[in-house]
Amino acid sequence: MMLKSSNNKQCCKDTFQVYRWKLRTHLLILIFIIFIPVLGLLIFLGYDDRQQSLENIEEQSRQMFKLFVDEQVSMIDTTLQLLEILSHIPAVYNLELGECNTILNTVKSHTPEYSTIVAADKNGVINCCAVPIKEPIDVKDRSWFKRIVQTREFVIDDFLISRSAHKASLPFAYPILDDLGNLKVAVGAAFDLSYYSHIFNRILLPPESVIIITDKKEDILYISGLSKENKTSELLGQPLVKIRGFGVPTQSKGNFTVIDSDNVERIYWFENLSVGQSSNNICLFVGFSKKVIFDKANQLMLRNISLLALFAILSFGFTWFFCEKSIVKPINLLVQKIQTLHDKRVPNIEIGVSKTLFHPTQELELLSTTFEDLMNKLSQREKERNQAEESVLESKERLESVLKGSQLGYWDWDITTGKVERNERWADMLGYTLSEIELNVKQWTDLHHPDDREAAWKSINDHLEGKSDTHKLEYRMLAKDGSYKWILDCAKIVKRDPEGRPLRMSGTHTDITERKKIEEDIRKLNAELENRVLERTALFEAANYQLEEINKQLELANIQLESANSQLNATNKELEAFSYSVSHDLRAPLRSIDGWSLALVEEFEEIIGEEGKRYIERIRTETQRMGQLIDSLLKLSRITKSEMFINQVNISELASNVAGKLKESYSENIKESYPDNIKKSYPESTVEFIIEPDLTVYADQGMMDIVLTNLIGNALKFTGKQTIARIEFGKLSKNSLQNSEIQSEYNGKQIFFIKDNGAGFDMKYSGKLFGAFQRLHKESEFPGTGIGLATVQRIIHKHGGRVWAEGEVNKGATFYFTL
Amino acid sequence: MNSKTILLIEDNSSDIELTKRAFKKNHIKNEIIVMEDGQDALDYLLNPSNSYEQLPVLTLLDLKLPRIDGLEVLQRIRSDSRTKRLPIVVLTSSKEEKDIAAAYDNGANSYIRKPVDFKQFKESIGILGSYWLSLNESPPKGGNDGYN
Repeated sequence: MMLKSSNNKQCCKDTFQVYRWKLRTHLLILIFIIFIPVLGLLIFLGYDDRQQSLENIEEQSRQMFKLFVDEQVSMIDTTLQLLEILSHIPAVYNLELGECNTILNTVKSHTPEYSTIVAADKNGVINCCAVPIKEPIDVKDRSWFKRIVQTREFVIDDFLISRSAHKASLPFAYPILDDLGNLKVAVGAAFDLSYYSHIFNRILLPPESVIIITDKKEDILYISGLSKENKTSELLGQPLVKIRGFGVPTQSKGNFTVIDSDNVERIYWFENLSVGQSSNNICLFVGFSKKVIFDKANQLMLRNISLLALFAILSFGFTWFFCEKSIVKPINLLVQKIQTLHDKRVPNIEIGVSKTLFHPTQELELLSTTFEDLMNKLSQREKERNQAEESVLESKERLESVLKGSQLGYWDWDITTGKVERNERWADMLGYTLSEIELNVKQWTDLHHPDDREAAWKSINDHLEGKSDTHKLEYRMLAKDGSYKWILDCAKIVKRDPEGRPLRMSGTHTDITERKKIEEDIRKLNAELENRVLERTALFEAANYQLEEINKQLELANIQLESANSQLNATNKELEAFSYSVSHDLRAPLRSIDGWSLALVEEFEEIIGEEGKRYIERIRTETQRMGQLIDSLLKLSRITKSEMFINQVNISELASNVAGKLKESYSENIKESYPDNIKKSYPESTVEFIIEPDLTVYADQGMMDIVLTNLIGNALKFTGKQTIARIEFGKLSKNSLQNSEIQSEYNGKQIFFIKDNGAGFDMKYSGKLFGAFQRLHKESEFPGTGIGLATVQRIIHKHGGRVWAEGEVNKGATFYFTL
Repeated sequence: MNSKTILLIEDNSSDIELTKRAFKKNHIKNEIIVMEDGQDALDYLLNPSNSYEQLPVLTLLDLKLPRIDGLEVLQRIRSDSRTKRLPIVVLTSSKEEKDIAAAYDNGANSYIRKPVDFKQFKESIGILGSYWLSLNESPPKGGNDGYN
């Protein structure tokens, strides 16, 4: 990620600044979000508080209603008791004026709740009263008196409102009956409703509370709490609707909210109650200022929210500060460092944010170290890229020099724009300079030989359509001098767009005019050659036919040969049986002849005489020779049929061993066994062996032993008359190949020889040397069976070699053999 | 019967007499019993009524015999527990490798080719006699001695 231009850098700087703003805002929003539930909780608690207050107030009003009812009942009871007591006072029931007034006055002074206490006679005239009266008051048309006359029982009358006195009261009456049961006196008392305030005062009502009592006609009986006290009395008796703007609800109890005349919003609880009697229905209203009710809850909530706001502000401030110090600053620092790096492009620099800050966070430390790693890797990669660029540049240069050196014309065709770039050689090939060549394909097409143009485009189009792997074609192009040049054009698509459509194609031109000429020559030659071949083939076929005929004959001959072979095998088996029989049965009589001959000599020595003994000795000698002949024949036949085991054989060593063995047996034992007449002609001879060392051959060791035994044995035998016998074994060296026979025989093979300085032989008879039972010397001179050399020859032939001999009488003999 | 008899298994009458003569010339006086064919020889050797002491101290065996040839005689002598250790010297005209190998394979103690030269034959018999009759320790007789 290397930033190449300053524009790029600017863009990234901006991005970082936007990021910084965002980070802070995000943090603040986060904190704000944390505060939201707290705020919600506070509001909920406030609301809950308000509800609680409302419930408390409602409870209070309910208690008040209960208290009022209780008080009412007790007030009625008290009044009944009072009036009963009064009725038992003689002064009262006798209506003794002075006394009665005093008593009533006294009673009233003790019971301020009653506005007045009176006693009326049966006619409804009041003479006796707690308050002084100027004259008797006639009350017979008053409802309470009417009722008591009627019922003669304790009466609770309807509420009475004195508009003049601005007082509301509740009249009670108690009858005093005479003995006949007729009403004698009625004792009455009026309960002052203003006295309710005493009751209500006992309940601690919140400020700005209002209590209203109305009678069944919805006229106000009692009112308290409204701002102007003096006016309250004036309100008595007034209809509620008129004064307060709301009437008595139809329900027996409930609440409602209304804005009062003093502009205070209140919640009113009301309950319909009856006092004493059913007609005395009243409705009690208790109104509480809403403001007062919720004041405490509201204040609490306000305080809490204020505190919350304070905390929030503190929290915001701290976050802002902390964010600046612990996050934004380090990040800015990191960014600055990074930008410095971008500017300087210094490889292997340490970012070191972790060291420049007091309280870096783990993540930032990680980020900075990661960034260090990244930068190190980046610089490493940049280094590698630089190297790669260098190597690309190098290979480009190399390519150019290769192109130049290889005499290749180069072209690069931008398929989308149609522009073609070429090198100097491309133009030079056709005798142009590069400036004379247009940067398109048109001129190239025009220069084509008309016969090749179509093929050239077909090859290119095939490659473009993916039908071929490369565009490779030989065609002719018109050179500047008017001649046609053969061009080998090889090209390939080197760039494709992501969809695989070809974008660029590059290739080379090779001038193959020369090659084409040579090819043409070769073609002509080939044609000529073909003609000749055709001629020859005819001859050849004829020869072939003859050959086939010969082959057929050969096959026939082969079949015959095979049958001959099998016959031969049968014959061989017979021969084997024959020779076994010979070895066994032919020898037995010989042995007997020899044995009996000797017995004859031993038993009848005197009778036979010297001459006879000599004859018998001859018989025995011949017999033994016969035995030897049989043995030799057997050996010869055994060699013919025996298998060969070819190994590497040290023939020099073998020759030494054989020579050693033979030297002992021939010169001593065998010589001794020769007939005496022969023995005499043998001088005491010394034998000298000259054996070339370390000669090796591939042969059957046992058979080579027989060969050497025979040849060296022969040499020993025929040197027997020499004083100094010299027997030499070796290999012919190249420069000793004078003899033409040897030369022709040599032919790359080893030629071994055994040379002696013995009796030699006449070359006239050399042909007889290797025949069985053929001998060149008299038995009396050199005894032998005449089978030894035949055996040698058979072994040598079996090895695929040849054996021959050279010699001269009395000048020794040389036996040669190859293998 | 002499305890140290020599058994000669040979069909050629000349050979029989000349062999006897050769023993005599070498002053070997042991009794020589001659069996002229293989069957007779086996009948003689494998006869259960023969005591161990009656078995020959040396047997000279020719390979070419009427009825049962020498190699089979050898085989059957070796497969009988009583005679399996009997010293047997093959004395024959053959020098065929095949014959020599077969003789040894079948348990011959020695193989001697009869030379044509009677002097040599006589010497051979002399050496043979002195070797097998005096120099060589005879094997324990019989085979039922726990080694079988």
